[in-house]
Amino acid sequence: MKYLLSATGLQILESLSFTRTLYAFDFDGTLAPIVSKPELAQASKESTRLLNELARLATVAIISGRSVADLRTRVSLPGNHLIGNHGLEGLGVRKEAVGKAEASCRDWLGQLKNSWAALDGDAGVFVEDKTYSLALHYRRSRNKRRAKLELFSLIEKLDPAPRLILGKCVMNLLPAGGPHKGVALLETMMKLNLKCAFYIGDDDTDEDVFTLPDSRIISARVGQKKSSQAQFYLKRQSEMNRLLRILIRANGGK
Amino acid sequence: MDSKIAKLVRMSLAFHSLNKGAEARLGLSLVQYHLLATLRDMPGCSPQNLAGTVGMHPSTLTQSLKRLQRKGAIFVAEDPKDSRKKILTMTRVGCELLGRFSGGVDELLSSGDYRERLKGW
Repeated sequence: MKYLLSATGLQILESLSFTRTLYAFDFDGTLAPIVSKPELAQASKESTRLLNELARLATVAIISGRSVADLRTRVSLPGNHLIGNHGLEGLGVRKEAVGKAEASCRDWLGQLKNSWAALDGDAGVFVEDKTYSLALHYRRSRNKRRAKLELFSLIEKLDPAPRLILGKCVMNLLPAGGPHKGVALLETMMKLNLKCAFYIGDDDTDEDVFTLPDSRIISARVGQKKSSQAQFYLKRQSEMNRLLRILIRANGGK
Repeated sequence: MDSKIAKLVRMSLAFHSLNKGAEARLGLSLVQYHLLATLRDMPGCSPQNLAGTVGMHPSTLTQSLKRLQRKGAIFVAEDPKDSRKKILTMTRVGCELLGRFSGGVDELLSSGDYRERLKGW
């Protein structure tokens, strides 16, 4: 993993502007700082302004675990390339998969409600219903370790068995066999007829993009992590505006 | 058979001459142009990957890459995932050379000498 704002990283970022490139971003922890209550996550005014400026010059997409409806309340993007629920919602919507995902989520919600007592009144654990996927948050739990173990044992019993993607103090439940962020990125590139892509994210869910065996994709992670498969990293989320300014300049903006 | 071989030799010489002429007049040989145009859409790819994509033997590619590097058209760096490997990107100079080549290649190909030699191919 190399620092994205190093000489090599900057050279790669510039070379992306010579061809039709998709600039794709995760939302939480990438465009917006991580906050204790996910409903309060917001990109700064400057980040939003810069993102819109970049979207005027190149193709920009946001690929998030949030639902598209939720993303729309947090960010406005020219071209409206918002991809939600880890790829289930967005450009390449498959009606059958979406219907199946919604039914699975309803099933899981019912089952979780019945067994929620196992968490013994831990007020810091809650379910976020994203219609086509569920997110079980435990960031606000006073005993995160215990909460995580209890959630694992609840998830184990769910039928149909979900695909589990671990995030930062969150467990994402998606229908098995559904798309992931990597599939969403490739589909977006294909549908928009783009030659290559730059993707930046901060979480384990973004590893689905980082591990794609596709040399057309340049990947970066917010925060250095040895086990990550991303090629580059930013030291912290607060460097995002600097990155956006570099991309804008490379694409002919000011 | 002899006439076929003679034709092939003439073709090879014409191509060699065209390549040299392109490099002298437009800053890039046809091979260098093809490499750069391919690399433009594969930023950060490995030399092996580029060789595979353009159908060139890696050892032949090395020489062309060295020439492009001397012209400042490409940037060679350590692979961020594996420091034993290299990655390639096109630079702004390379992008400008591509533009110059694209703008002048038609004129070059239509010049009398090459048109005559490449007749029938």
